[in-house]
Amino acid sequence: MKNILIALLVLTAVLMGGRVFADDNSAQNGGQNGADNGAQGSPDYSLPPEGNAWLGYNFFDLQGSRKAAEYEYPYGSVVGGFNMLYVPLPTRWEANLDWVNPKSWDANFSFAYKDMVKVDYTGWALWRNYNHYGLIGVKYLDTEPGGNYFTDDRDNRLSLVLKWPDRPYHVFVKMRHFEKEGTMQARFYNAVDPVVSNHFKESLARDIDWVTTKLDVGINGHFGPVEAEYSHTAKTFDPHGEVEIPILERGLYPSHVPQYDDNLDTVKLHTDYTGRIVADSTFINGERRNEHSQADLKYRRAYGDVVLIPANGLTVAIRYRGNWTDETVQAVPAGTVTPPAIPISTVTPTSPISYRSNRAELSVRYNPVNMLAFNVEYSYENLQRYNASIWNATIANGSPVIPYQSIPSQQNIHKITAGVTSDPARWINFRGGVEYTYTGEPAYPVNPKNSYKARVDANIVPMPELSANAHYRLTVNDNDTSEMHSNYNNPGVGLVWTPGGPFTMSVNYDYFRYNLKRDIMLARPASEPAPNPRLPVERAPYADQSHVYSISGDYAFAVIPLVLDAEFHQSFGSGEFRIVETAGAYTTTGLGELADLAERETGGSMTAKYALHKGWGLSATYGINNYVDFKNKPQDGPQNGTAQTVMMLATKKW
Amino acid sequence: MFRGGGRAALLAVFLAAVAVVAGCASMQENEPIIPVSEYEKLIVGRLDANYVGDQACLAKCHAHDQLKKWFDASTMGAQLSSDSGLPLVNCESCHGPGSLAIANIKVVNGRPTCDYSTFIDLKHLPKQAQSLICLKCHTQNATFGLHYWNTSEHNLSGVSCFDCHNVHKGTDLKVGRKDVAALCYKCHPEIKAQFSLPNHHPVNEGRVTCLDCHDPMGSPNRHMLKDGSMKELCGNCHAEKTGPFAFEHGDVTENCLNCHRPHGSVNQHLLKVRLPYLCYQCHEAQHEVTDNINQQQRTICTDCHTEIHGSDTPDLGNGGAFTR
Repeated sequence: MKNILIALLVLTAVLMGGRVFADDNSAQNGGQNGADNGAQGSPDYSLPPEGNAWLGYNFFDLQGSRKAAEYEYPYGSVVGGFNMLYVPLPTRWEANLDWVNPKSWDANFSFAYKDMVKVDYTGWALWRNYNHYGLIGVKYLDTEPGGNYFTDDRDNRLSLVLKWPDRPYHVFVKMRHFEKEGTMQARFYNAVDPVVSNHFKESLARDIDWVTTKLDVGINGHFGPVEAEYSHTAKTFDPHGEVEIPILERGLYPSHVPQYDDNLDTVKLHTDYTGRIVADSTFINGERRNEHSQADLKYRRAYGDVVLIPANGLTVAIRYRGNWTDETVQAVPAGTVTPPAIPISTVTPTSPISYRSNRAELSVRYNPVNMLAFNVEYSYENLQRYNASIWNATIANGSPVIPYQSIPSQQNIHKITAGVTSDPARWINFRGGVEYTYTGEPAYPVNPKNSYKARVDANIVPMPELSANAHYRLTVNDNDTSEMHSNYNNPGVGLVWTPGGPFTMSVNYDYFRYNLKRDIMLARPASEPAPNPRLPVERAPYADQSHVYSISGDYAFAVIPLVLDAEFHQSFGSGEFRIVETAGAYTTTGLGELADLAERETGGSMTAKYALHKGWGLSATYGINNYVDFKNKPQDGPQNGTAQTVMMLATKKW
Repeated sequence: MFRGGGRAALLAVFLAAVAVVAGCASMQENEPIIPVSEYEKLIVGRLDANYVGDQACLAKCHAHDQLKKWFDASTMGAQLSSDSGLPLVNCESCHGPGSLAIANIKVVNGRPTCDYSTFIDLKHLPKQAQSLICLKCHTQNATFGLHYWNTSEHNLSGVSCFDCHNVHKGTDLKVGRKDVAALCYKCHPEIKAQFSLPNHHPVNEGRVTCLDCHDPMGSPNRHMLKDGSMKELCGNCHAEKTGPFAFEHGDVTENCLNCHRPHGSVNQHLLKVRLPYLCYQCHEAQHEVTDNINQQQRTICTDCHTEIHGSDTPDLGNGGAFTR
């Protein structure tokens, strides 16, 4: 159905384009050379086709884990592609293809006739390798040890816009077909009791073929001072009927990946942009349905903005955002793997949480002089949750599902930001800002009650051949209900050096550090003496940090037509989590060690391009990527590896 | 496929039809920008100059012949007929009237050079005035992406159309998919570093682009994110995780950022915090014990709670523990 629709639309566009071409050709015969101001029409010249193409082979080698080649199809392949631009006015054609292998390519095609017919196609394919996670513990079963897991992702997007000649009325159609096909690892909990099953946990391969389609059809036009747009969007996610996974000991294991259908209507209105005052509004009404369990989500949204420029250099924006959702679920069939103690046919899930969210914002920008600007913004949001109290129930042992904190039925969120931008001279500019957010009752222990953010950016050009930038990001969060305190730091610098002549070089470095402390609750075995089977741990610390740097440069030889490009990048990541306190010190005992991290990724490439006669050329690229997991934890599976590529190309420009 | 919201759709179509009929007559009228304030006068140009047309300029000085051809090749060039009533697009549409410029042509370094000082000083206009140069036409000839431009973070932060678009060249003046990230990194260098972490979306690989998640020309959401909610946005590629499910994870999954860093992370699955600490922040660490059974269960939480984003199938105890 959708394919037919696509074909029809493309055919319509081509036919329409063909008709108008014929009309236009006759008109052009008597036309002037080039567009004229008084009678702007189609110029009668064509820009000559231009482009380039390449063809060659990519050799691929992998030692160790595919983690080193996460987004690479791990086989050698013929490589090719082209960029083409052809503009026989008033039509325009553009096409690009970058073919690395059958599982990794990128393509773009566009056609336009004046501004009346516009067709755009974008597509890409990407191969992704996944970790093979190990299972840990005493009793587990991996049915496919050493198996490789991957997905082959393909994204195809097509848009068609038709415009009424010399009138601002449009019809548009946008389509997307996104497919994720491959073999993934399915891990699952098999049984509580080792007598029932020989293995608590199992792992096996699971084939998937998931398709997401989206169709957006709409009309748009200007009617006097107002532009109006209506569109209908239909989205579908189709897992192609995957409902069960066969396992060794327990027969069929239900694993429902549901089909979803999502339909929404959108109406947009906005005033013409005369600069001084503009307003816009948006209304959305939609429904998303789970076709397996019949869970249903209805949503409505309303947005409105007014932007004023009351005086030179002063802009005031007022925004409103409303978001309402109503979610309902139906009873589902009871489990089939383990018969419950009291046989039941259906299970009624907990009623999901629905929302009413209303947010208002006031934003002001002031430019007292051209080189200086100030921004201030305040926003207030009221969020009401329905059914939240049900989720604050206790679990079987009497403990709350979420220790320390309950999900509030109502939240008030205040946020204020202030910023400054300045470029006092051509050789320096500066941006800075601070933000504070207060959330009256955070919904979850991970959400802060007070959040402070700061950011600074500076760009300096001390001399024409050198430019430098520096930035710093800081976030400090706290939640005294859950005793959560965290801070996130990110300083970074960059340099670009162009000494002139054949050589350019750039260097970048960033450091990220995330520190988090919070109270957590451990459970003790039932055999522990009363009264408290729970063990609170105060301020359990978690941290991770990473260094990321890169160097790149290129050199063009003066005597021979040879250009060398080189790039090198490396990142170090490390982190730890300590939860058991012994004599005042945190140790690695227990589950904490599962979260220890020490990793390094190193990559780089070198390219040599040699220009021959008449636009022909040769190119050779060597690339390498190495990943090292210093902790080598079994639950992550094998990750250490090195991927290398050598790509040889013949190129041609015209 | 087209079910739900049917009445709203019909109403919208009806209203649109009424608007078309009512608005057709007014569309034939030329509606030039009227400089009602000092701010708008910035983009009008010298009031003592006259429009002379592209050919008059190019006949005097051929320095911009190729530029003119490239401009014609774009969707902005040579699209409309002069009787359409819509703004025509040529050199003077942006640079202002050119009669004074060509009246004072001088020879500099052996080449004829017109008096650029009589044009609108585009480079040094306030950023929002730069954008208004574009908007004065795009307001009348629908450009779909501009609905939220005026209220966008970019506009209010002093980013203009000129900062991202090369208006003189390109078939549709858009930034190519492969060039998007490099363009955005110029102002967001920390994001470039995040995409260089060991776990990241394939942006540097050239498949996913910044524009797949963000709309630089404005959106109703913070961070200029596309779609109506974080869940919808991520669901464009990860639809299997979005629900609605029979067994939901509270409303934690409404905001994917509760657990994930979307650009890049040192942690697998782009997690903000590594397992099992991530889960311990809200839940008791129930298996941190020494008795036999639980020791065997000592594991990463998602080894067993694999359907952590939601599930349609009850767990082994007919509850909603996301183990199936």
